[in-house]
Amino acid sequence: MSWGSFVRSADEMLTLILALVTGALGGRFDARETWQQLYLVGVRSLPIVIVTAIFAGGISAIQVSAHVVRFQAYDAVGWGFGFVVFRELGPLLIGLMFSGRVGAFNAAELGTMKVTEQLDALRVLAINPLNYLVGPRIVAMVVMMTALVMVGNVFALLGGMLTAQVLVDVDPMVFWISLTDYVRPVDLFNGLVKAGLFGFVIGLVSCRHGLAVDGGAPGVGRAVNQAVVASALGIFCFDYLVTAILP
Amino acid sequence: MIEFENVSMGFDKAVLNNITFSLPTGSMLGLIGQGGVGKSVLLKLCCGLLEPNAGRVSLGREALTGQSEEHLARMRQEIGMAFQNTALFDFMSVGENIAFPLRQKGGLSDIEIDARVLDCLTRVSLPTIANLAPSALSGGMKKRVALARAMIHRPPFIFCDDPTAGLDPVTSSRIFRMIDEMRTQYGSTCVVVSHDTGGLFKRCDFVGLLRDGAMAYFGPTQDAMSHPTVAEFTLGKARTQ
Repeated sequence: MSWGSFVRSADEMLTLILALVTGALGGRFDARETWQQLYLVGVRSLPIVIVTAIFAGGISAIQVSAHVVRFQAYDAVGWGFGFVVFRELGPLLIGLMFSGRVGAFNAAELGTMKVTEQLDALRVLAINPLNYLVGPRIVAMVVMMTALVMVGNVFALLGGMLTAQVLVDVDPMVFWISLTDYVRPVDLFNGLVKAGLFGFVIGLVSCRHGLAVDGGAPGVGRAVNQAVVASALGIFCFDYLVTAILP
Repeated sequence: MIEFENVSMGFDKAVLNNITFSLPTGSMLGLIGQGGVGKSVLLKLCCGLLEPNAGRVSLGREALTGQSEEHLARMRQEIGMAFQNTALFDFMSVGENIAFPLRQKGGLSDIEIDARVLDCLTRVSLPTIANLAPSALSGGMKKRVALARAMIHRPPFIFCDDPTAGLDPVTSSRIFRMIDEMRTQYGSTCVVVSHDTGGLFKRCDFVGLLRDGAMAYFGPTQDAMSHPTVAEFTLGKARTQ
């Protein structure tokens, strides 16, 4: 990406944010579309998030278990697991899954609407596509990404407990006590802040790339590709920033 | 009334050059010209979807040019447009697509809206397809549904971008008749782009021929065929660009 296109892209993103803030403050987002997006983005993502979370929990427990056996620190499994999953692994893995599933779909849908003149049709019907399509999608992604990470944490916990018991014979009660004794609410909060931010980044990036589609079907393909790559980069950048700033 | 005053429009190169015409209220303009000459651009200028590089476009007594997006949104409530590739919303059923302009405008109950949708679907001879998805329709059916959506709110200005492209003569003739009926019934001012000059000339009051970015002919339909440029074009003898 050249500096010129980077600056143009940043300018478009800021313009989009400004228009969305104006729309949100004016209460202009379409309520019915927002509810529909909450369902499409959230409820439909639940199965894949649950599977991801269970595996994320299991993997964390496996990684921690090697050191637990080495140092005989069985009462540290819950703490190690909770710290890693709640603060980092949960939001990050679910964010990347969410970007692949929801972000890619969103960029493809908006891009197709653009090339088939459906966005122009909305404008002719006196409807601002930003308030009708983009705003509700971003709101849904922020809300549902946060909710999905909360649900994911529960299933990651189950996956972690089960793996710890099977692999290193850590009693679930010992796991739970270690988790609740050492993992602080701020660790959980940290992860949820990241989840909300990741949802915003995925929403903004996928909508921007969808709206900027040019050149028919190949253009839609390019937009989806760019949206997924840019979302992943955005997720890592914000992850770094939040980790550095928050306690 | 639709007025173009010295309108020029271009992207990388000039598309329309110094277009001037005035279409009286309640009349229909048949816009013809070779592919890529700027007919769709002219229609988009009529809806305020594009802003001209120079000149002024007015609908009724109000200028479209230089207005804010909020003001344009208010003006567009008076517009119905059928797009070239129909632009039906994939995420809605046919019935929801047609009802959409009325639901957004407000002021009517669900029962009234459903009745208007059924009326519109009956007019386009498709009374039983309200629950189907647009993807389940043929090209001709999509065109008729797009027309129904453009007309359901009985707008004073109707723009149709090639509503008969790729259709059989029977369906084409039915579509022209429908546009004409709606115009007569609601007094709408229409601009219709089409390559089916035979069908179009039977219904329209005025003909506009775009050539090389300029309005080569604009005048009453009855005089059009005696104009050498129009005659040349309709007989397929127009020089290539």
